[in-house]
Amino acid sequence: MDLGFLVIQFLNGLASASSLFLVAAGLSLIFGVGRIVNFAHGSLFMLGAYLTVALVPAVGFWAAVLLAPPLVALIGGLIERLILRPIAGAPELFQLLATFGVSLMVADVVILVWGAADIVGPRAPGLDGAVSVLGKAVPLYDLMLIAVGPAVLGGLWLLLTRTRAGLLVRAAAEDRDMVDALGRDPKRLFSGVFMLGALLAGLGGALAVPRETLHSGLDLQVIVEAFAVVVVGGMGSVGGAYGAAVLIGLVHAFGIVWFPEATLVLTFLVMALVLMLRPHGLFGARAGLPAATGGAAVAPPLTGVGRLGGGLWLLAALGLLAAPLLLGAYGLDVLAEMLILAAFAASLQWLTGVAGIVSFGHAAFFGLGGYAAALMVHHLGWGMIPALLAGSAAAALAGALLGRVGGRLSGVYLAMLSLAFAELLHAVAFQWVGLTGGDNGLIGLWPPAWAADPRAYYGLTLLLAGGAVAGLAGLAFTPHGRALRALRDHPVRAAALGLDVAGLRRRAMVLAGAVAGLAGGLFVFLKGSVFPGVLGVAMSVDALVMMLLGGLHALGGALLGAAAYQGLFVAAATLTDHWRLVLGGLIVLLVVALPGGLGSLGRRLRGRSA
Amino acid sequence: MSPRDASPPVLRAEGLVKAFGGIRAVDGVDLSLDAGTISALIGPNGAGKTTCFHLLAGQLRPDAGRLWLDGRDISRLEPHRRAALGLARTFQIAGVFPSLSLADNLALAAEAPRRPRPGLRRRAAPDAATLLARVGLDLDPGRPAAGLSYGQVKRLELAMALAGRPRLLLMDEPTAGLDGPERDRLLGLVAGQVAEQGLTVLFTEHDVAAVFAHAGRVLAMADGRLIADGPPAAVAADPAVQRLYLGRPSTGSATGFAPSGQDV
Repeated sequence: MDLGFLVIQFLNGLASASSLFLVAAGLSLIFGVGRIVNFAHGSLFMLGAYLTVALVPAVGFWAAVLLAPPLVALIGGLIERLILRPIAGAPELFQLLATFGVSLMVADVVILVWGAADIVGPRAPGLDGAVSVLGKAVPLYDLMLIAVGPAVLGGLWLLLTRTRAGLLVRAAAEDRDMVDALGRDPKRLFSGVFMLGALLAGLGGALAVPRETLHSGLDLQVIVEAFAVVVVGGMGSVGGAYGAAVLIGLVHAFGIVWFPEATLVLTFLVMALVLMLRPHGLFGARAGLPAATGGAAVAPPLTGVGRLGGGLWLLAALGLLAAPLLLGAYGLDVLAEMLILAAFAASLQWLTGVAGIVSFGHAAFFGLGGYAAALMVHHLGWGMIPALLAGSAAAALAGALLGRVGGRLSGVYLAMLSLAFAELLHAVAFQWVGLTGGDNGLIGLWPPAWAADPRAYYGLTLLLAGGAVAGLAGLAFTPHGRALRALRDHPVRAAALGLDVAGLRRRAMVLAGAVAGLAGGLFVFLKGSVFPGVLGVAMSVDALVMMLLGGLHALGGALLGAAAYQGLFVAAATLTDHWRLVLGGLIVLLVVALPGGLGSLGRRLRGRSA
Repeated sequence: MSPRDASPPVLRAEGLVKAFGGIRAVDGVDLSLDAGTISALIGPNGAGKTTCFHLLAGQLRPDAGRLWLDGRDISRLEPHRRAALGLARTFQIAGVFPSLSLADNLALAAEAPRRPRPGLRRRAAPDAATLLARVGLDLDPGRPAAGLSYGQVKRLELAMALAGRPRLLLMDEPTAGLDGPERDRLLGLVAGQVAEQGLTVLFTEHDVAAVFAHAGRVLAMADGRLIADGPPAAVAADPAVQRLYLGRPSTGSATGFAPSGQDV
């Protein structure tokens, strides 16, 4: 391996670092000022790229690069005004979900407008040549990109240190209440920062056009990398974002040479390592003490079985028990799937609603359980029951690992880490074809003869998945569940009283992992196959939406949420190809209009008429 | 319990230092508390009192210095391990668990020092109504803690701290937000616990009258250092303390570190 090659990879890494930085800087600023994790930031990048391509024929490349970012900033302003402002003050999770809903909608809009096929962008006129460095050709465009990163960093630095607005932004990043004290409307400040962040993301997308192939999955690819950069650099730190972008850009550039199949794994490892050593990232402001609760949002008292009344739940339970007598094979399959998804959602609710741990990659546990079970059957010839147990155990182990690595992390960092973990597993399932079959998945994973009858498998699902949902609901009222709820309410106070907060959180992650893994295994034998999709972001979001539909703090709400979600999904999927648009809109609507979940709808209506 | 005179001080701190950025919020504090005593820690805003409490109870790690509880080195122990050894504290911004019932708040507080990771079994819970009555709360133990007034939260927090039967209780501004009679009642209650159970108490307080009425000893703090230590009358007569309270207002409040546990 000669020197020239190393230099090329180095320059290549720096060039992609600039792109990453443009996205990550805005993401970091938005978080710093608004404490909002903008999942739609990758979508803004993608819009910047597509708008540029659309404008090039009319105005030429360079004018398009200058015009697209302000358009993206306007779109960002609309998102902020219409969706984020109404839910300001809600828990972080809700804002994360709302922006995720937006990203789903944008993805479908992009497909509607520009089609699903890949688009190769135009070259940059004037910079389409190359210069020779140590005998290798380096594209001029890359050199320009390398310069853009530090230039934007410098501009932001001037903005943050030399202007009054910049001072406010920095003050807000350190202490939200200080903005009020300084007498500026924090809403307007946040609007400005959000639009600036959108502008930078749009610019990143515009500049990426000559280097990247445009496709509708670009948003996710970019956001996952940008999250890694922001977390490694320290949320809220612009300088940290640049340092981390360079680090991760280089890890990618060299990783792709030596471990071409494992670049995501490397990114994840860097992230995990940094977070273990520095829980607030390389340059993040170290918070003194965690806030008491999520701002104004105080969890309501736990409601036993939702608010629909015990009688209805009893009826539902009887219905589930009687289903094999009433339904045919198809109906039982649908019902079994609903129960499995309910257990999956309930396991997330255990983490988030009960223990206050936000996971944005809950599919990691579900998919790991599914794949572990499938691999046991496929490669080792295990029976279904041992395989299900192995799947559950593998996911529990993953929960223990994540709890160990992320035990000291604050909410958003852990949510990011879980997302990165899920993406890592997704990449492994996708790329390690020899083990997992890659995109083709593993098939022929049917239950053994004794459980092959739909009624038998439904019974097994009812026993295991239904049992898990009921078990978690009951557990919430034991001293263990009570302790978890206490540390969710006020972790500092809980620790001062004597609760082992880190240990309890780890246990919650192990249990949530075990239940999600069991659900994943049951899902595999229900479908007879497993594909990488079970580890995907969409699966994680399914869990979040079901949990919110049922009500974050209503136990047993997972059942209601799973039923409603499955019904909606089936309806949306049969009625339209643009399920993401429908689903995204639904998520936004749900978060903005009905944060208490479906169970609270009845109570609200009653309250209104009274 | 070992005889009082022969036992080491309940709490001993040596050379505690904590800096935030360039500001030394706590700058070389030594202190020692004997069993069954009530001491007050006074000083202007920003003097380092709350940071000192965070160091003693483990919410913050000191940059330098060591700490002993009943002769045992606790310098590196996490907060819950200190709680298990009998250290309890309340916070300047009172905090309870709003989603739990009052009874659950108290049951949890009673068990936590001995069960850092509670399991499934329910232990015999303390009599919530009695504990509530003791701090002057006449409320249904079954109601959630959400929606309590600030004064009620303050008292519930104290009831929770006492429910764990601690050896040492640190109270950060226990009476802030309470009126005069309430203030006396609450500190009188704590004094009763000291007399009955040999509890040791250190509290911060802005109300000088309350300090004189209840503390047997006063420690005065300014700019991260202890500047006076002794019986209340002696400390009140100390020229350095008088300058602090009567002379030019201290610059301490401009040092910029957040005085509460509420910062993010």
